[in-house]
Amino acid sequence: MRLSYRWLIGAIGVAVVATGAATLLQQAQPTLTDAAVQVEPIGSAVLLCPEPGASSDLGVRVTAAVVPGLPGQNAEGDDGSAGLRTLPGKESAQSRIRVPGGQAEIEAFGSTALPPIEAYGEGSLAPGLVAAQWGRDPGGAGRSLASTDCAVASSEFWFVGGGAIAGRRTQIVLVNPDENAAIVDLIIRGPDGIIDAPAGRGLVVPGQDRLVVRLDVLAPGVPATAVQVLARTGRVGAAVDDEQRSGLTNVGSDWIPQAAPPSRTVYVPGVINGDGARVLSVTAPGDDDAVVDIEIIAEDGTYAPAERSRIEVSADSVVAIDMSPVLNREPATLKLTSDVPIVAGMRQFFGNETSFTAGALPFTGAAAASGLPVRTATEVRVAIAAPEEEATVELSLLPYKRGREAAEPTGVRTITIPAGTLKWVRISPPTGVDWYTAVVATQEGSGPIVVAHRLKEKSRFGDLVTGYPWPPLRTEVVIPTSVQDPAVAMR
Amino acid sequence: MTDDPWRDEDVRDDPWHDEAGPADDFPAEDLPNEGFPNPDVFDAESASDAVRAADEPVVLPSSLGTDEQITEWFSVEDGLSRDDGPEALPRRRHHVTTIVVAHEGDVWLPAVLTTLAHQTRPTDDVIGVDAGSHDGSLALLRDSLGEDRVVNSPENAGFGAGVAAGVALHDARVQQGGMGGAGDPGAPTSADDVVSWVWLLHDDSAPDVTCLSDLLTTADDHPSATVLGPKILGWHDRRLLLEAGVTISGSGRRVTGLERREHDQGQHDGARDVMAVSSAGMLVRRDVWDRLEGFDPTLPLFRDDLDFCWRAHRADERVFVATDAVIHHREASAHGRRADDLAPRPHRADREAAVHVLLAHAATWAAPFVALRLIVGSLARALVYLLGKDVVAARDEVSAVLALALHPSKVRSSRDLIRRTTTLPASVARHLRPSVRSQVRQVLEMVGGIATTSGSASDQASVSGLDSGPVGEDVDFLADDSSGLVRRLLTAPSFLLTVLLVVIAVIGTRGLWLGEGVLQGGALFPAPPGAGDLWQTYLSAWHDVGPGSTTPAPPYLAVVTAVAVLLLGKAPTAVTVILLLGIPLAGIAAYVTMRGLVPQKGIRFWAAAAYALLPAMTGAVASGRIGTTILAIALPFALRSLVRISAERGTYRRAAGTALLVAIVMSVSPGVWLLLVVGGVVAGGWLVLGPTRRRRAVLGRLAIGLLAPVVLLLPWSGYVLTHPSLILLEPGLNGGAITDPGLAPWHVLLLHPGGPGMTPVWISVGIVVAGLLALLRRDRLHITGGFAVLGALALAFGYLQLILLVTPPGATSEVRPWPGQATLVLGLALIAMAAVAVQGLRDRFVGTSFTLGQPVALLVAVGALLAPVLTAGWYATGLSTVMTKAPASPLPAFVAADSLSAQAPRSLIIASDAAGRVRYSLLNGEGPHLGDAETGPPAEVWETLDPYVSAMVSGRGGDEVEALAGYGVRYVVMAEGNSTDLVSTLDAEPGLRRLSSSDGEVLWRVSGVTTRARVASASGPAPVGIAAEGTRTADPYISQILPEGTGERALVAGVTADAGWRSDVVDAEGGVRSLPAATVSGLLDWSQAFPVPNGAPLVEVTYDGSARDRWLVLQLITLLVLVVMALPERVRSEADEDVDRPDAIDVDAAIVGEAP
Repeated sequence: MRLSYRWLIGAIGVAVVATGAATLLQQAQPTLTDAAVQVEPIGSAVLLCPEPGASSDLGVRVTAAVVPGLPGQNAEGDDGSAGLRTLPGKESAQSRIRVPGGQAEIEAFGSTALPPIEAYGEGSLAPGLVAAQWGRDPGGAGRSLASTDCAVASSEFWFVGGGAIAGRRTQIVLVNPDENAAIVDLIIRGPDGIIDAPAGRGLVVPGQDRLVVRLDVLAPGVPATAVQVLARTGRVGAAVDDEQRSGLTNVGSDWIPQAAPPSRTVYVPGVINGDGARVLSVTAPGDDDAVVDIEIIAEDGTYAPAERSRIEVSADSVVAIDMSPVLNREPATLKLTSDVPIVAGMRQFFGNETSFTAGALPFTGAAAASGLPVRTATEVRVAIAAPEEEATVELSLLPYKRGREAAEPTGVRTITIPAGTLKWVRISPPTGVDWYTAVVATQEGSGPIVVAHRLKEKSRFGDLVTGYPWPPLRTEVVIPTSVQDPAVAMR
Repeated sequence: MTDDPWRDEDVRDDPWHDEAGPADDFPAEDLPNEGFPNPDVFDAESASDAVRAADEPVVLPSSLGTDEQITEWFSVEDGLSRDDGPEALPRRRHHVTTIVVAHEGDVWLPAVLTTLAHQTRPTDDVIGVDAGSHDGSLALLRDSLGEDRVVNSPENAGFGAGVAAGVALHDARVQQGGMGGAGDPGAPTSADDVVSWVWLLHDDSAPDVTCLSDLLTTADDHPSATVLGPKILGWHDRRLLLEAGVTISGSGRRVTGLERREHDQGQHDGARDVMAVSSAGMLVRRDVWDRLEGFDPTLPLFRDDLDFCWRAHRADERVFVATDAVIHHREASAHGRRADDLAPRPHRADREAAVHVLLAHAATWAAPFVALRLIVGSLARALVYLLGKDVVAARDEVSAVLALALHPSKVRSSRDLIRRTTTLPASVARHLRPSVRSQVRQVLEMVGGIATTSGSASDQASVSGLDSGPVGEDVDFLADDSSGLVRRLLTAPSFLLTVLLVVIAVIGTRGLWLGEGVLQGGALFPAPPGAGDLWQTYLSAWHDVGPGSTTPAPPYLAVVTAVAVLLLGKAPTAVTVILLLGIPLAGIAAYVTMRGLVPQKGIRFWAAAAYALLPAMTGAVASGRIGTTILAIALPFALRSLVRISAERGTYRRAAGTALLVAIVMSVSPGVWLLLVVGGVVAGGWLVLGPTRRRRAVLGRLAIGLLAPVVLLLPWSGYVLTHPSLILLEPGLNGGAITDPGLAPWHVLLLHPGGPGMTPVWISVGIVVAGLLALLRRDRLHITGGFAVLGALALAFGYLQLILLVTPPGATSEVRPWPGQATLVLGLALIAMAAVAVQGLRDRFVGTSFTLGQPVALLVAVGALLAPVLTAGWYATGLSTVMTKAPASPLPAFVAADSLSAQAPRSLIIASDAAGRVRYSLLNGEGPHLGDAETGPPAEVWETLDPYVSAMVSGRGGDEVEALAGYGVRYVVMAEGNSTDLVSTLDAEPGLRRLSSSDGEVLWRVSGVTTRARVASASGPAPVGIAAEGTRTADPYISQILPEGTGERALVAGVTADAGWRSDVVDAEGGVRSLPAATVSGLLDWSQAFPVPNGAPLVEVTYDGSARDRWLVLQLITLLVLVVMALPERVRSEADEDVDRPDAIDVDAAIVGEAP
C-alpha cells in the first residue's frame, strides 16, 4: 500500500495552526459581574403611621419631614409632592410639604378614632421623607410617652417583644394603603416555638383601612413573643403597641419598633442607661437552633460580658434574657452574632415606664427621627455606634414652626466615633419651635453606624421614656441592570 | 384442399353452410362464443414454409399451401371450445374485400402483406391504398398486389378517404367484370346468399393467419353483428394485449378496459358487443359501410373508427369484438412512429378527434355542457402535464380544444353526417361506455398510484421527487420479501442500527417522553398545540412577540409544520420526534446516504452510529437545539445530492431536488449553508479547471442547488444577509446558559461544542485520528481529499464561532455562538474519511509481513469503534439536560386565561441572576411558543423597556409601573428560585399588588388601566378590547365601537409603531375612511396610535401584511418551480416497446404467432 504522508502532515499542520490561532484570538466571554449598577434617587415613598395608641386622653402628633440636601431633590421641589394625609386621602395645607427641608404635622387630641395616616413623597420630594408618630399621656390611664417611626409599606415585618400575660396588652395594628384588600398572616413565636394561632391566618385588611389584632386573643398566656407579619396579598404597614398595667397602675406603654429581618449579625442599639430590666428577646426562625454570642458596644469600647455572653435559642422559639446585670447601667449597643439568622428585640424598663428597641442593621447614609418635642423637661440623647470601623457623622436639626415652609438645618455637629465604640450624644434643642427633626448622616468614607435615641421627660408622675432605632432614610436605590431574555419565560 | 387461396371452396365446402337457417332469427345470447375452426389447419410443417416465405419477396396471390397452419395454443383453446360450443348456426357464404391502407409504412408493410397472404381463409379480394407515401410503401403494394389493385389516395385526406378510395376501386373492378390475373375479383355470384364484407388493415397491423377466418366464424355465430373487430395484440411483445374492443369516456379518453401492460391469457376473451372496434382489422358488412357512408372525412386519423362504430350503433347495428381473431398492431401513428404529416403531433390530433367525436354525438341541448366539460377537463389535464414537465402535451391538450372551437364547421358537418346516416340517439350505446363510477375509480387509482409511487398508473416513473430521498432501493430494510422477512429484518444492519439508536435515544431522554406538558428548555420554546398555529406564525407578517414585531418568520417553522402535518397536526409531537428521535433519524440518514460511498455494511453501520452519536448530537438533544437535529438529518442527503449533481451525469432535475434539500439545511443553519457554498465554489472550480475538466454545466447545477434556496427562502434569507450574526447562530434561543464559556479550540477540534449533554472530551479522539490517518491512503485520496476540504472549512467555521461574540438580532447582550453545527460537519467529514479509507484495509494487511502500521491501525480502529459505543453508554446513563416537560404556559392558569381575554393584557416575568442582573420577558397570551425566539422585535424595543423594569425591581417608585401598565402589563411574575430580596422590594413598589405566592413563584398585579389597547384622552385612558381574542393575529387587531367621547383623543393600539398599521373608521353612513397615524407623547410614545373622531366611531385596526403575502407568493412559485423541476419527468413509454429500431418485425413470429 502506497502511503502519502504529505497529506497527513499537511492536514495536521493546518489543524494545529488553526487551533493555535483560535486560541490566541479567542475572546473572553463577558463576565456577568460586568453588569453596570446604577444608583438613582427614589421616585416615591409611602410611610404608614400606626394608629394612635390607647385612650382619649392621649395627645397624638404625626409629623413628617423631607430631609434636605439629598441627591435627587430639586431645590424648589416643583416636580414632586409630599405630605401627610389620612386614609382615605384627606389633606390640609398644614400637612403638605412643598420643598426639601419642609415639614408637616397632623395633631389630634382627645380623639379616639383618628384614621390611619400615611406620609407620602413623590418625585423630587420622595428622597429623604421621614415620618414619626408621637403619643403623650402624662397623667391618664395610659400614662406614657410613646413614639415610633412610620414604616414603609411592605409585605413582611418582624416584631420581637410582645407578651400576652395578664395585665399586658399587646396589639398589632395593620394598615393597608392600597385600594384592594390585603390578606395577612400573623406568625407568632413563643418560648416553645411557633404558636398554633389559626385566628392569625388569613386576616383581611380592607383597602385604605386598618385592622387591630390583640395578641392575647391569638396567644393567650405567652410571656414573650416574636410576631412575624406576612402579607400574602397586597402590602401593609404594621406596628405593635404594648401596654402593661399592674392592677390599675399603668407600668408603661410604648410601640415595639420593627426589628431587622433575620440575619446572622444583629445590633440592638439604644440600650438606655439607668436602672431597670433590659430584657433581650431573641428568636431563630427556621429549622436550626442558634448559638448567639453577645458583645456589648459601650462608650469605651466593645467587650464580651463575663456572663450572658452566649445564649442558645432553639429553632423557632423565643428566648428572653435580662441583660441589665452585665450592662452596668450604661448606654450600650448590643452586638449579636449567631450561626443561623436571628431576630432580636429588647424591652427596657425605666421606673414605671417602658421603652422598646429592636434589632437593626448598620448602614451608611442618613437617618432621621422626626417630631422630637421641645420642652424644658425633655432630654434627647442619641446613641451612635460604629461597630465595624471608625465613623464620622454629622448631626443636624430641622426645627419646625407652624407656618414656616422650610427649615434651615441648625446646630450641625460633626462627631467622630472610633471603631467599636458608642457616642451618647445629647441634643441641644433649638428654641422657639414646636418640634424638630434630628438627622444623622455619615460623611463620605465613614464606616457604618447604628443609631437610636432615647427621649426622657421628667414628669410629676415619674419619668417618661421613649425611643427607637433609626432606620436609614430611603434616598437612593440600586437599580440593577435589566436584560430582556426570553429564556426566563420557560419553566 | 385447394391450392388457390382466393377460391371460396373452403367456404362452400362448409358442411353446415347449406343447412343454415336465417341467421338473424337467432338471439345473440344464444350464440356460441367460439367459432368452429377448420380442422385442416393443423399441420406442423407449414411453419417452415412461412419462414421461407418471409425470405422471399412477397407475392400475392401466393401459391403456398397456407391453409395448414398451426399454433399450439390455438389448438388447445379450440379443442376446449369444440367440446363446449353448440353447433347450431349455419355457416354463410362470405365475400371479403381487404383494403390495406399504407402511408410511409414500408417498415411494417411486408409483414402485413405476408400475413395477409397466409390467411387460412384467404380474402376474396385485396386492394392496396397508398396515401402519398414517400418511402417504398407504394412499390411494396404494387409488387405484392399488382398494379391494378393499388390506388393512390391524396396525401392529406386521411385513413377514411383512403378506405373510400379502395372501396371505389373495388367497385370499379367489379363493374368492369372479371379482371385478368390469378384471382377472381371476388364479385359475389349472387347478392342473396353471399354476404359482402370490407376488411380494413393498416400498414402496421399484421393479422394472425386465422384472423379473417375467426372473424367470419364469429360473424356467422352472431349474424346480427355487422361490424367486427379482432383482439389486438402487441407488435413486438406478441402477448401484450392492446385492445379487445374500445370505448370512449366522457372526457374523451380512449378506454380499453385493460390494465397497462396486460398480457393476454384469455382473460378478456369472449365475443361480445362493444362500443367500438379499432379500424385495424375492422370487418364491416358492405351494406352497412355504404349506408353509413364510410368513415367521417373530418376525422382523418384518430377516432374515425370509434365514430363509425358509434354511428353503427345509432343505425341499429351491432358492433362486435371477435376475440378469437388476433391482429398484431404497431399503433405507429398513435406513437408518433411515422414521419407523418397527417398527425405530426399524435397526442394533439387524438385529443382533437376525441373532442370532435363527443361533440358531434352530443344531443343538441347537451352540446354546450359537453363542450364546457371538455374544456375544463383539458385545462386540468394540461396542468397535470405541466407538473410532469411535458409542455408539449399540455399545449396539445389546450390547442386541440382551441382548434375545434375555432372551426365549428367541422363538427357541424359531422353532425350532418350523423343525422343523415343514423336514426337512434347517441345514448343507445350508453351501456357500452364506461360508467361514471368506473371512471372515478380509475382517476382515483391513478392519483393513488402517483401518491404511493407504486401502482399501475405510474409504474415506470421513479417518483422520488428528491432523487436523494430514501426511496426505492435505498430503504433496503423495507424490502418486502414475504419469506423470512422477520429473519432478514433482524439480521439487516440497517434495522439493527435503527433499533439500537432508538433504544439509546429513548433511554437517554427517558424523562422527557411521558407526563403532562410540552417539551421545552434550553434553546427550545414549547411548541403550540397545532400545526396550524405554527403555520400561522410562518404566514404572519406581524408577530405578537413582546410589544409586536415584524421580523420575518424563520422558514424552519415550515419544516416543523410539515412534519407536524404528517403526525396528524400535532406540533409538540413533531418537535418531540425531531428532537428526541434526532439521533436515530440522523443515523438512518447517514446509513442510507453512505450506501454508494461505503459498500460494506459493517463499516457503514459504524459510520452511521458514530455520526448519530457525535457530541454535537447529544448536545443538541440535551439543550433543545431542534435546528441541529434537523440539520443532522438533512445534511447527509444534501451532501450526497450535491455530489451527484457535480458528476458528469448530473441533471438539472437533480439540481432542483438538491436545492430543496439545501433549503432545509439553510433554514436551520445559514452557517452550514455558507460552508456548502464555499465548498461548492472550491469544488466547482476544481472540477471545471482541474484535471477532470468537467463541462461548465456543473457550475450551473451547483449554482441552482446552492443558490436557489436563497430565492426560495426570501424574505428570510435577505434578513439573514442583513443580520450576519445569524450565520453564526442557529434557530431557537441563543442564550449564554447553554454554551460553555470555558470552551477551548482544541475541544472543537475533538468535536466537542460544549454546553449541556457533553461527553468527556477524549471520547472522540479515535474518530479524529482515524479520519486524519485516512489521508495516508493515496488510492482513496480523491474521496477523502474532498471530505478533508469540507472538514477544514467546518473547522475554520467552528473557530470563527468560537472567537467571535455576537449579539443576536433582538437581543441586547452578546452571546458566544455554539459551534455544534460546525463540529457536526467536521465529524461527518472525519467519519466519512475513516470509513472510506478503512475499506479493504484488512485484505491489504493480511499476508503482508508485520509492520509498524498494523498495530497502529488496530489501535486507531479500536479507538474509533469505541467512540460511539462509549457515547451511547454515556448518553444512556443520563446526560445533564436542560430540557423539561412542563406546561406550555409559564403563567398561573388564571393569568394565562386573563391574558387570552379581549383585553389581552401582557405579563412581565422576571428573574434575577447570580450577578444581580434582572432578566425579564414580556409575555403575550399564555406565553411564548416555538418561533417566538426568532421573530422578536429589534433590540431598540427592549432598550426602551429595560429602564422601566430596572426601576421597578429597584423599588424606586417612579413612573415605571405606569409605563409598564402602558405596555399592557397586568401581571408581574417572579419565577421560583429567585432572590427573595426582590419580593420585598416589589411588594413595596407602589402600583404593584402582590396577588399570591406559591412554591417560590410570586405574582403581582399592576394597578390602573392595564389593557393592551386603550383610548387616551385628557380625562384618562379607557380600555379597548382587541378583536383577535385568544389568538395572536393582527387581521384585524381591533374592531369595535370605541367609547363615546369628544375632544382630542387617541386610540393607542399597544403595539410598537410601524408603518404597516392601518386604521379604518366606519361612519354612520357606512363609509370607510382611513385614519392617519397619530403620535402620543409621554409614556405611550412607543405605541402605534390613531386619532379618534368625536362620538362613538367603529374603528378597525389591521396590520397590512400584503408585502409578506407577496413574498409568500414568490416563495410558493419558487417552490412549485423547484418541485416541478425535481419531479420525475413524465415518462411516455409505449406499452409495446421497441426491441430495436427501425421497427423490423420478426416475420416468422408474426406468422406463427409466438413471442419472439
